[in-house]
Amino acid sequence: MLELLFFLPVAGALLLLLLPEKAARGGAFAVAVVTLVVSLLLIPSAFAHSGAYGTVSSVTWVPAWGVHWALGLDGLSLVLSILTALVSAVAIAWTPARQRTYYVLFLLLEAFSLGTFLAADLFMFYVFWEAMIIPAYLLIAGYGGARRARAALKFLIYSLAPSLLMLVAVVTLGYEAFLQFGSWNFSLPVLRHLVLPTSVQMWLFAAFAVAFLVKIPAFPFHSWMPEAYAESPAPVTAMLSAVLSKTALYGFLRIALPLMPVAAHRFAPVLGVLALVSILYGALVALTQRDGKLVIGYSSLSHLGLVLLGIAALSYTGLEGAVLQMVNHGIYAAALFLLFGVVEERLGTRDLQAMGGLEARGPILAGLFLIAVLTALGLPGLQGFAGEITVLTGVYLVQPVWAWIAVIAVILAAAYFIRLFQKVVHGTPPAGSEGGGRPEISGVQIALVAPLILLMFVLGLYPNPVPRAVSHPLRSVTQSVRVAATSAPTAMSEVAGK
Amino acid sequence: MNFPVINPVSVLPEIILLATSVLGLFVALFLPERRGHALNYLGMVGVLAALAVLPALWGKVQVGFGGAIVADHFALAMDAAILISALVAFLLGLREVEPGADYVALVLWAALGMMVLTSAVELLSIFLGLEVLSLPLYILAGFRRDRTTSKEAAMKYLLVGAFSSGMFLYGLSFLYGATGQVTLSGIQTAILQNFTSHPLFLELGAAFVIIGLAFKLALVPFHQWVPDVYEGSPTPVAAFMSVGTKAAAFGALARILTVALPAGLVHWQPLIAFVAVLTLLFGNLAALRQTNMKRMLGYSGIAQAGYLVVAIAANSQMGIGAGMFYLIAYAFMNLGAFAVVAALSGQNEEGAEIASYRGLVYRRPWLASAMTLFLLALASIPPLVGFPGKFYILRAAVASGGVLLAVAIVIGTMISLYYYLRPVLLMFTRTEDATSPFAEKAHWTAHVAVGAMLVGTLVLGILPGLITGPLQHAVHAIYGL
Repeated sequence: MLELLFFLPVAGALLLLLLPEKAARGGAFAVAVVTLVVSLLLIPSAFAHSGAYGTVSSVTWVPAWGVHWALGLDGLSLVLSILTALVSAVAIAWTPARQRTYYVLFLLLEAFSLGTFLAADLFMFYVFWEAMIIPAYLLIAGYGGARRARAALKFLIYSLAPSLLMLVAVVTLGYEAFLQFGSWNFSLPVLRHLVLPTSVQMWLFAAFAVAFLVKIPAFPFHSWMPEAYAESPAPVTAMLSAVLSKTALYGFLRIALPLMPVAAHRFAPVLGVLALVSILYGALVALTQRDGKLVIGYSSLSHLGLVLLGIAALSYTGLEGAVLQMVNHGIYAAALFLLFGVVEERLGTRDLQAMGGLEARGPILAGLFLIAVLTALGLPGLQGFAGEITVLTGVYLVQPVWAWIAVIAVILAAAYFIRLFQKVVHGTPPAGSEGGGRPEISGVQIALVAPLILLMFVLGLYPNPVPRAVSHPLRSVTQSVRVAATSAPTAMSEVAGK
Repeated sequence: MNFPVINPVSVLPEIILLATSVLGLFVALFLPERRGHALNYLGMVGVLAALAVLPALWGKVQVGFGGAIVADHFALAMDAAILISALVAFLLGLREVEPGADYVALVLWAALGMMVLTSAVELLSIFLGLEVLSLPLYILAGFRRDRTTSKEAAMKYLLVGAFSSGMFLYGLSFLYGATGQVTLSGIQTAILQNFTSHPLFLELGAAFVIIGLAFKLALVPFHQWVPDVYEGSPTPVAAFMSVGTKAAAFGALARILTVALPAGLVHWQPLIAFVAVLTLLFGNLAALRQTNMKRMLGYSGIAQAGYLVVAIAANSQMGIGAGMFYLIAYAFMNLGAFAVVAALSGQNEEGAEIASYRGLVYRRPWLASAMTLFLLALASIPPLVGFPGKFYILRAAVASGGVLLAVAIVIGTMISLYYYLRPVLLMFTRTEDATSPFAEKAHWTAHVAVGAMLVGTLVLGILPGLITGPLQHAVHAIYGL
């Protein structure tokens, strides 16, 4: 069953090659929906507790190297898998009738993203982490805007180069397992029993963290983001922002914190500062952008900075808020990018100065856009609020100053999102734009985005399922971190004591 | 007088190649000239027959020529890589070089020399193998007599090759002089028992042997001939040289250094490590600036040799295993890339410029997709075969305490991303220009070569465990376990 979640989209991608070009969109959508259903069916098995994971399936992959094909499911990977499957299903069918290759690559992107969330073996995590980049790259390079070639290459090199340092770290962890347990091993639950000297932990943590920070992205590693987000087709941007960024944040929770807890303490202040800079920098740049897609892009930089801040707090509440905010961001970022994609497509521009008057010409689109924007800026009652307040609480208990600074960004978020909304929806349409197509959303797209909009209300009014699902995995992470803090006292040790 | 026991079984694959070449030359007498290419198929049959013999020999070590030749697991594994590259040379040769009996016989002889080199355990046999592999390659490099670049390539290769053979022989003479032994195991015993007699000669001998093989492996600073020769030679020959020669030289180097010269007593390890790092950094940096596909692959081959030698520098069983795995991985992905280049360009080597790959995926989707996968594999991106190869070498480097070597590999790989991925990007860039510099249609055998290499690249990428077990035996063979 667990394998199915990964192999369904892979098999679907291969099957699409046999289908006629016309049926590709429908076929891909069907595969994505079935994958979503499977991910929902897995909910019970995620909580059938036996050790670190609810369920594990493990086969020896390369016996001589101690590499296992191991998938594991617990609440954390479950929540993110469902998010991935949901966003993929919505995004894959969003734009009508593209080439078959597009859908094949899209399904592969989904499969590899699911693989990173499900991998219970560090080697496998690395394989999926790298493999994921290729379909994403080809989607940008093949279907993006005018300057897609440059954007795609930049995305690729930024993604791959730091991953290679991570590979050395992966190998080193396997070797440490050999030294300490007698055989090479990359299984994540096993690696958690390693006892690593602080100096080794420091460089390992740094190698992982840089790769993760680039992928989120966080300041100062974000310079691939504007081009990649702007040049990708809207559904791909939605995937990059809603799903791929989460694989990196997940990496912190699954690998960096539990395996290198002492280093996590040492590096927490650095991560916190980078997060704060991301939050403020993203917010300020978002205020000044003329390109509507980049307003959403930089808002993501800011909001994912908030997630990182929650992680850097290293407290249970901080991590809980971080995961909640990851899910929330995944849903509203996908909706925002997709809806703005419709606006862009109909008006033929992303320039906010050339937009306006959507309320009269496309009232339904304007209404949906309003809900998504209000969610994103954290209006209480909608889903964005719960995550923000939990992160801020978690951070405040540990580092009140961080929380005060981060609150500024929440205020700025209201400013840049309302500016975006006004430019797109209100005002008068610029002269000469009346001749263009009617900027209204199609019935199919309304049906596709409906689940996302619905979740914004449901999780806004009742966010409990997410914290409940991730409580066990997060407790075990905080447990590791706390033990490390007591055994190696640092400036942050009082953090974990709380 | 005692004659040594020959034991022809120990050189059975070599005998098959030799017989095929003789048969080819004989048949050629009765074939009309324009039917000469049919002999290529004969060559393929010969190579396939030799490949088929390898599994039969697997399992029992065959010693021949009074102990000068040993067909052990290590030699057989290297032979497989050599034979695959010879097979590809024939598959690609059908259109590119208008082959006749001479082409077929020369490739077979070169392959024969390579295989002798990997299984020789005695100094003179080693040198014999080196010469038998070199002489046909000098001629093959200049096979296109109508082209100046080809003649230039042959001349360069000949001069540099002769020089390196001299160095190598000089090194062997030092080893012999210092120990009075000609077999590798004899030298080892002599060193272990009576180390202090001529320590300087041993060190010098090791250095000269390394330099001599470094020419063949194209290690910096003995690499200058590579780009010119790759660019000038016919593409199938370049493909054959890039993989076959490397496999043979790697085999000889690994065997001489690990068997004859214990690293604790003869200090070759720092030299090898230094050369490896120099090679992989220089190769990658130089490849960045190339605009010609074959030159780019030439410099990339230099860098790849650097990774390979890191495996030797690890000086461990794991290192040798990693090197062998990487060599086989490199055979698939590099031969594949060359096969695509050959399939695209026709008789006149048109379209060798990287710029002419622009928009290729929209014109030749199959070849362009295959090329994409080969280049991604060379950049060691999972789940393609280059990735487990790189992983294995990193693993060996880390386990032998060479974290800095591992970091050097990573830096080299980072640099390589740019030049491997730029052609990929170009292939996916739409172009208004509909004229294609490439030949209309490739010979069907070229497609077979591309397909076969693609299967290897994918299958071993996803299931590297298929060959790690047999390679373990090969490593044990060389360590005498």
